[in-house]
Amino acid sequence: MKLHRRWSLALVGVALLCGCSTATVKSTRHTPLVQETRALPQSQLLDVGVIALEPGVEPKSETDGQAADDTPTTIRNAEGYYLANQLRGAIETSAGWGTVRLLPSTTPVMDVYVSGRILQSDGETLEVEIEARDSAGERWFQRKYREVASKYAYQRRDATGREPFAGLFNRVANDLLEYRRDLDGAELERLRTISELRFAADFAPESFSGYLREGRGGKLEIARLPAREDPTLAHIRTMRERDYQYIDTLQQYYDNFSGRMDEPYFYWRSERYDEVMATRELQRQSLLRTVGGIAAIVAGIALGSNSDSSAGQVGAIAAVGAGAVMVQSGLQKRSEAKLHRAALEELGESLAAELKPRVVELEDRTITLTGNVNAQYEQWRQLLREIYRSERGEL
Amino acid sequence: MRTCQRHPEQGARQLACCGLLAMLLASCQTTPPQEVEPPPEPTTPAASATIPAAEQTPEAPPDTAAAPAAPQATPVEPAQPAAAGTTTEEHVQTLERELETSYEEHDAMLRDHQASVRAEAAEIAAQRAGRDGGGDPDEEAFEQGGLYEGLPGFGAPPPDTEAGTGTDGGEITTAAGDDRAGTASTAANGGAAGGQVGGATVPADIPDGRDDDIVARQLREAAQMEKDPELREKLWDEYRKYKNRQAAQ
Repeated sequence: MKLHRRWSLALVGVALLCGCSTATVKSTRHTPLVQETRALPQSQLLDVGVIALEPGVEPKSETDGQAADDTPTTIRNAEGYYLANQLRGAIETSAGWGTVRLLPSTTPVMDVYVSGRILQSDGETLEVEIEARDSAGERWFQRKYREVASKYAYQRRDATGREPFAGLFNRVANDLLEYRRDLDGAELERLRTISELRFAADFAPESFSGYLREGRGGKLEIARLPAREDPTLAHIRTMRERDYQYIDTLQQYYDNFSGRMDEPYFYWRSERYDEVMATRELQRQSLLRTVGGIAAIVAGIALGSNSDSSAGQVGAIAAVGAGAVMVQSGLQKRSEAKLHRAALEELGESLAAELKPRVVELEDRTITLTGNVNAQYEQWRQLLREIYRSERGEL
Repeated sequence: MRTCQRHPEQGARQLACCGLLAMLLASCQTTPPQEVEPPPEPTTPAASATIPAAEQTPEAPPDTAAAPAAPQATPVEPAQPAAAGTTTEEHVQTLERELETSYEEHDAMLRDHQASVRAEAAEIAAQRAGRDGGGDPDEEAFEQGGLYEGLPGFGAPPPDTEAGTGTDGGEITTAAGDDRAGTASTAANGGAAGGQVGGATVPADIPDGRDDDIVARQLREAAQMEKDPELREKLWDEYRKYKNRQAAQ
C-alpha cells in the first residue's frame, strides 16, 4: 500500500514537472568557406552557372506533426532566385572559379552547372538538395544540405544583408571546390574545351558538330579539335564574349532583385523563426500539459481510492484539481499556437504581396532580354551557316 | 493533212501549260521564307529578314545583302545571275560585315539593358545607404571573411618596417609606392623567383603586379613589408585569391 502511494505521488510530481523544459537552438556549427589559395591559370578556371533553385517545398499538413506550411508560392519562387544567388556568392568568394553566375536555365553554356531544389525553408531550418554537373554531362555530386539557424542569426545588430544560412552555402561551395581540386589541369582544360565546342556546335553545327561525340553513359568526349586559326572559331569566340555579357546583364538583374528582397525577406524569416519557435513550444507544452494533467488526475484518483487518511484524501483531491488545471492550460496553449500559425500565414501573405510585383518584373525582364538575345543569336547562326556554305562553294 | 490540223491545238495546249507552270513558279519565288519562321523578337527585324532571303538568293548582289535597312526590297531571283561578278571571297566578306553590324546591334541592346539595371542598382544602394546611415558598402565586403583586416590602407596599424611609419589611417606612403615600382622592374628583369624587393621576398608564382589595382597593390605591399614569415605567407595567399577572383571577372 505504501509503495503504491509512493508511485502515485511520483506520478503526480512528474506530471507537474511536465511542460517546464524548452528547446531552442542557441548556436549551430558554422562552416567557414574554404578559399582557393593557388593561383590557377586562366585556362583552368571553370565557369559556374548556378540555376535558380526549384521551389520544391510541398505544403505540409498538420498531420505530419509539424505546423502546416502555408507559405505562398510567390515567396517560394522568389526564394529560388534569392537562395541560389546566395549560393552563387559563396562559390564566387571561394575564389577557385572563373565566372560564377546565376542563370534562369542550363541553356547558356558553362563549364559547371549547380542546380537544386528547396526541401524546407521556414526561417529556422533550410534544407536543399543540390546537384553539380559539368558540361560533359558528368555528375559531380547530388547531396542534401540542412542547416538550423541559431537564434542569434536574427539578433545581430545590423544583421540585414547577412545570410543566416551562410554555413549551408559554404558547405556546398566547399564540396564543389573539393571536387574540382581532385581534377588535374588537363581535365580542367578538357572541360573548358568541351564547353567551347558545345557553344560552337550550337552556333555553327555544320562546322563543329563533329568535334564532340557521345561516349559512355551519354557523356560528351572530344573527338577532334578545330584548327587554332579556324576563322569560324574566331567568330564563335567573339559571340561567346557577347554571351558572357548577356549572362552578366542577367546577373545584374538577379543582384538587383536580391538587393530589393534582402530586407523584407530577412525580417520575414526572422519573424517566421520566432513564430515557428513559439508555435512549436506551445504545441509541445500543450501536449505535455494535457498528458501531464491527465496523469495527475489518474494518479489523484488512485491516491484517493487507496488512502484511508484524511490527509491522503485531501492530497488526492489536490492532485486531481491540479491535473484538471493542467489539462485546461494545455488546451489554452493549443489555441495560442493556432494564433501563432495565423500570424505566420499573415506574414507570408504580406511578404508575398510585396514580392509578387518584383518577381513578375524580374521574370519579364529576363524573358525580354533572353528573347532579344535569342533573336540575335538566331541571326548569327544563319550568317555563320551562310558563310560556311559560301566557303564550301555551296552558294 | 490530219497531222497539220492537230499541230495548232497541241501548240496552244503546250503554251497554256507552260504559262501555268511559269505562273506557279513565279508565285513560289516571291514567297518570302521569313514568313514561315518569324523571329521571336522584333528587335532586329531588318537584319533577320535579310538572312533567309540571302539563302534563297545565293547570287544576290553583295550590296543588297549588306543593306539590312531594306530587306523587303531585295529581289528574289534565284535563277538570275545577280551576283555574277561577285567572288566567294567577296560574298563571305559581305556576310562578315553583316555579322559585325549585328554585333554592334547586340552590344547596343545590351548597353540599354545594362544602363537601366545600373540605374536600378544605384537606386537600391542609395536606399540602403539611407537606411544604414550612409555606411561605406565596401566596408561590408571587406568585413566578410576579414580579408583585409590589419592591412595598411584599411585603418589598421602599419607593420613595423622602416618605410612603414606613414601608413596609419589608410595613407599609403610614397615609399610603399616606390616598392611597387621596384617590384615591377625586378620582375621585368627576370628576378621574380624569390626576388628581394625592399627587403621582402616575393614568391615565385606571384606575377609582376603591373596590372594590380589598389586592393591588390595594398595586399602586395603588406605582404612585402611583413616580417613574420607565417603572416607574410597568409598575405600572399590573400593576394593570390584576390587575383584569381579578378581574373575570373
